[in-house]
Amino acid sequence: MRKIHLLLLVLAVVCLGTWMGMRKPYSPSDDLPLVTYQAFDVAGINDEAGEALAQKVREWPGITATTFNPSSDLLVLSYTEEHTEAALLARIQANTSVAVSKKVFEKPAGPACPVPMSLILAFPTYLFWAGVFFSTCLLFSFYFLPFQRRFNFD
Amino acid sequence: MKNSIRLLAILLAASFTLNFCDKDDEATPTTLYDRLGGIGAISAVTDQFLTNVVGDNVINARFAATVANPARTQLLRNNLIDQICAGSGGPCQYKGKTMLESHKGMNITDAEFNALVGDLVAALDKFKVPQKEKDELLAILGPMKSDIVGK
Repeated sequence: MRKIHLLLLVLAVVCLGTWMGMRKPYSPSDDLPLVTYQAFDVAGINDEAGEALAQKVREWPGITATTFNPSSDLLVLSYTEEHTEAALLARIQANTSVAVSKKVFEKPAGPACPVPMSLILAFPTYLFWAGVFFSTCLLFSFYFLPFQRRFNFD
Repeated sequence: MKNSIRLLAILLAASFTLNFCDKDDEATPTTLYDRLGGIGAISAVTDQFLTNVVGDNVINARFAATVANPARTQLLRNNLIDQICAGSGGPCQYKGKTMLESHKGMNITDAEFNALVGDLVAALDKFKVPQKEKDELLAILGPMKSDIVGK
């Protein structure tokens, strides 16, 4: 049992210590809602109609910014998680006579990290919860097991 | 032995819990950060700036991989907000790489840098940021050019 306690203690200290080392300092931007950026191709729209469409979309709840660029014929939005790309595409299409499609940018050439960025960013959080888990197991083994023996649960 | 391990475990738990309480919400009223309108206004300008960039044919190819990946986009957005916020005297801490590190090997041209500045100015104009504050902000960000262009 002592070996298990020691193992749990080491795991908890390693996980929480690594998490402490990797943890970024707090910044108020950490509390901001997540947003997604999406460009829609609105080729064929005239400048005034494009600006008007961008202005109209900007007024929808959950849209944090819009840009219509007449030289690229792109309508770009930033939106919070209450929207989905497909729903926005359909809603924008319903507000204009020109065909709207999602702009797909060319994938850049060159090497790319095989590990998803979301996993890299979430790694410290996983370490923290692993540390909490091992700490809880350690405390549980101290307090619950003697209690269990006292009442002969096993 | 058992008691000392218990004590160690309790102390560890307490110290990690206390680490959550290091938020610093203090701000002095004379900083550029306050005159810009705080984190909410900076966040709104940054969103406008990034939508301008994504719509800008001169530079949007540079951001294609970032825009295609929500986690990378979020990281870029938060880094930009933190950089503007910290540079203007706000309570944020920039957590990203240095400008030199993050632009090394990209061979960014003057034209691309100027296009980016143009997109930022357009975002500031859209929110009617006064000329004085705009100049102060650009003076903070301008010196970064030497670490970005031609690296």
